[in-house]
Amino acid sequence: MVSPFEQDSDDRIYTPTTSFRFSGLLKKELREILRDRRTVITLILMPLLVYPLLGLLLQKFFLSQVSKISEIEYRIMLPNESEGKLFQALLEQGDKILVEQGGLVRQDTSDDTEDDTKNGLPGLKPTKPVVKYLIEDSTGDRQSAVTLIRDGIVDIGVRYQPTESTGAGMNHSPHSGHFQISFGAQSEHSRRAAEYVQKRLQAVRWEYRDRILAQMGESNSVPFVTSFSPVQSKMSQAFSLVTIVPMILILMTMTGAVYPAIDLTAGERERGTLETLIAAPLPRMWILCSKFFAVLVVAILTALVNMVAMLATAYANGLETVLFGEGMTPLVLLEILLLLLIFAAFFSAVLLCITSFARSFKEAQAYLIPLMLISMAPGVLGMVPDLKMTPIWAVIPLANIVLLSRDFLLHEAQPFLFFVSVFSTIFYGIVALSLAARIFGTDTILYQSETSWSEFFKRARKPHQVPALNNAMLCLAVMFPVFILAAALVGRLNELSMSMRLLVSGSLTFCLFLLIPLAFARLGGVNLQTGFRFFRPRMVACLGAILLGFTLWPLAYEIEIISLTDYRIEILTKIFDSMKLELEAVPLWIKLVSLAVMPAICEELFFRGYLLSGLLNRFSSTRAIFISSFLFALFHVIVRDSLFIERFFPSFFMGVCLGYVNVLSRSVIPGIILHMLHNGLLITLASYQDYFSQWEMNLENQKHLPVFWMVVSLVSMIIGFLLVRGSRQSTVASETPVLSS
Amino acid sequence: MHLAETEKSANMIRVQELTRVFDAGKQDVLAVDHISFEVEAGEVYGLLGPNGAGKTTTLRMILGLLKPTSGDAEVEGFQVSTHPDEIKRRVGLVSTSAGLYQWLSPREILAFFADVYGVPKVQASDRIELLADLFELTPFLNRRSATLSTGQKQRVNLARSLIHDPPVMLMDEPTRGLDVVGSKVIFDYIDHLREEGKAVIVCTHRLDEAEQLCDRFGLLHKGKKSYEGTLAELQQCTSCQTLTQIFLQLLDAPLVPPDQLPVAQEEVL
Repeated sequence: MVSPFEQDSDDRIYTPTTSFRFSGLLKKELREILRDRRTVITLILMPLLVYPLLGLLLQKFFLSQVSKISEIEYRIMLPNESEGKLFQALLEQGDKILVEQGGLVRQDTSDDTEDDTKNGLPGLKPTKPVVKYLIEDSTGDRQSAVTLIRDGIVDIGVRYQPTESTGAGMNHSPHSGHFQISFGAQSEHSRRAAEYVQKRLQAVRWEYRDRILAQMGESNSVPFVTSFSPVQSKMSQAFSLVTIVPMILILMTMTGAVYPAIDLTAGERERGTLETLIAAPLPRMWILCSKFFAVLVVAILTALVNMVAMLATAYANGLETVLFGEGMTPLVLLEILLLLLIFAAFFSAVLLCITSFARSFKEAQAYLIPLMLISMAPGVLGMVPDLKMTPIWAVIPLANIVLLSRDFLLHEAQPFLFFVSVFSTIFYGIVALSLAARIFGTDTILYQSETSWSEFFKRARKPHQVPALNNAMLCLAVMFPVFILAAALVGRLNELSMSMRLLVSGSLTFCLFLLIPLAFARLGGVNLQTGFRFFRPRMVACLGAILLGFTLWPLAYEIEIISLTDYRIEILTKIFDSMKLELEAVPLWIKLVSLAVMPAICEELFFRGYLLSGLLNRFSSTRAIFISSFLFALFHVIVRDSLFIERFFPSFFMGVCLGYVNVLSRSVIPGIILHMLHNGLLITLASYQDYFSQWEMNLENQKHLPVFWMVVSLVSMIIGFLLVRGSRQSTVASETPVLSS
Repeated sequence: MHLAETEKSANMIRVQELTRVFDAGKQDVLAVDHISFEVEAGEVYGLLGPNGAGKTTTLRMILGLLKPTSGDAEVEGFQVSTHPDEIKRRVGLVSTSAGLYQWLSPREILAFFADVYGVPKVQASDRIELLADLFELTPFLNRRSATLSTGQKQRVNLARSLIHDPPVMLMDEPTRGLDVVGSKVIFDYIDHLREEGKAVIVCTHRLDEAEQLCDRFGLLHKGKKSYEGTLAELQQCTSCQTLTQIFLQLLDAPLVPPDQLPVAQEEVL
């Protein structure tokens, strides 16, 4: 577009330079927020006060635990000396039996002591408890024992009642009787003492019983003996506190971001400075972005200060292994910082989205309190011990970051889940930011006294030709987690046959890539035909697409081979060999429908239809094609619940080719044809591999394709593109060029 | 746009059939109803009317802060619907509700807005000095804005609106909440603008002040423009002496002071 002010350029009117203005904007936001005392308080004072206090508390807690471990003492009260002797003998006998049973005793002692030292302070071995016996002064006054237990002076009281009368027949043993053990129900220590005693008495009883059974001659042995050998899992060793660390960091980051977010949006509105800013010749998106960055900077600073304070406290108090496990290295620190950065970006976007809507500080606060509570929930869930990170957790915001940082600390993070978590968080951030852009500074928010959220989700009154960029991105952001979940779901359908699974996953993808964009198109009032670029193409373009569909695969294949390492090839061959039998049983048509036809239609309609037309709305066609190809490739990297990085490059290549075919032919249909043929051809080739291998075309053993093939492919690719391009020149010569190259 | 070249000197601001409908739940509210007027360079135009007559809405539409339901506004030949940024560059806004950044000093605020409007660094510092002199900001130029008095803040705001030396100035109730001294500053300021040859629109319901300030008036009532002209023209046409009388006749209401004119909310027709 030719701007009229170029001819009209007036000396009096200042024409601003872009970069200058944005940095100025950002500087102002940062200055304003960093000078604010309230920011400084949450940023510096809080961590400086909170962590030393927390550290002190933790240290006290651990020190008391340590002293307990070093001398566990059970005080047992007995009525008189003879009974005491009897009880002591029994207890020692039980102890001996337990020792003889080997593993049991180890488990037993660790059971006794590790309850409160789950985190296993290094260098402290559990010790055997010391048992002290006390004899009651008065003869058998039960009340006194109870009082002493209640007061915590003794741990358990034992009373013995010989039972000659009750056990009429069997009881020939002079010792048979009834031990009554009383203990303090509220005292952990007392309960443990009771358990300790009971275990030993039981051992004696069972041994006695076993002996009788053996004597009865039925068999020489008891049915079975059990013994326990504890295996230490890596997780439980450091579980609870290691999860707390990322949790605290994330919570602090959140608190850090809240105040600036409110102050820079609702606060500015309330103070009447926002209107002045909007009245200036600044793109509204810039204003929002500068605010976003300012909030992000404060959030990150908060995270950093908190991390430093936490580390300093931990080292000063000697708690580093307790808090971080053994895994704290500079690299892990960096990884956690990266996660925090991503999380902070996401959370800042969410905050801005909500606070942009609020008209005043108070209103914003009222909105944020529920948000904070909601965000606590997944975080707290993330602290559940032994909780495994799964794809589902990976798409739940906040929880994914908590679990991921924990896994980083434990050196257990999986690349796939890392990838999913990071990208889903980024996508959610984009959603929130684009929503915020829609809300921020709009006249309804600025001037109308009453607005409701529904206005922003209302269907647009006027139909649009193509989706707005934020609509398309929003659609993508919703699609990503649903896509991951769907893949995880299909992965669980093990009982189904391979054909069924293929069909299910095919139709799921189909629905996903078609229904979600359709819903968004409806929401945004986008014309379906133009929004999805569903135009009737020229015959020549289709011919070009057919040619490309048949001849692109050697190039794509070669790109994949180049990006593969030998090691990966080995792994992949193994995976495919394991699936080979199953795959061979699947009829070819099912493979074609689920892997060629359905993906071709739905992926083209989404990536090269809805998404591309949204991108073309904002970017030049080259950029739009590359962005859409990048996203297309990203979706292809995820297969079920693992990552196939090597799929990125060929998918990206295909994305670019398909994108150009789409833009050149100005229709989505040639791309569908191309995509379908390409996939279908590869599947057919794979199915008839044995047949083709006679033609010296063994895909399995031969790494690279013959050069001749590549040349043919390249030449026909050029011809194909010329055909597609030619169609455009002949038909749309009069229209404005779409391709700016 | 060539048209604009030729007519620029005559009409800086041209408002054509500007209309705005607010969506207030079930029923739509017509806040501004096909208003048209023009303002020349060096002219101070008073947009008068009781609360809720649509004055502020009109101003906001001229500046592109609100999208008109129909109609358009032009500043120096640029239409707000097609070139909102060009308009924003040429317009300064003084609004009663405008605040200052609490934690920045007046100097920083002025420098920031100079930045935003693309005033080159060297010129910007010159202009800051000039405006500081003009509005007597120098004693508190480096103090934190939150510590300034209402009058001082208002003067900073006036200086801020002039930082990019715009040919057009829009003023929304500039004297609201100010004492005699504060109002005097505004009067001087508007005189200054007239001397500089700027086109000024002043929105106010203080008719007594408007009489002193403005060259020409447009009387708004319930979103419609009822009368337009100089004081003499209005007097002649309505056979009333003062603006207040003209207004009361217009409203066809019992005699009450202008400050207590019946309040018509934007939400209520």
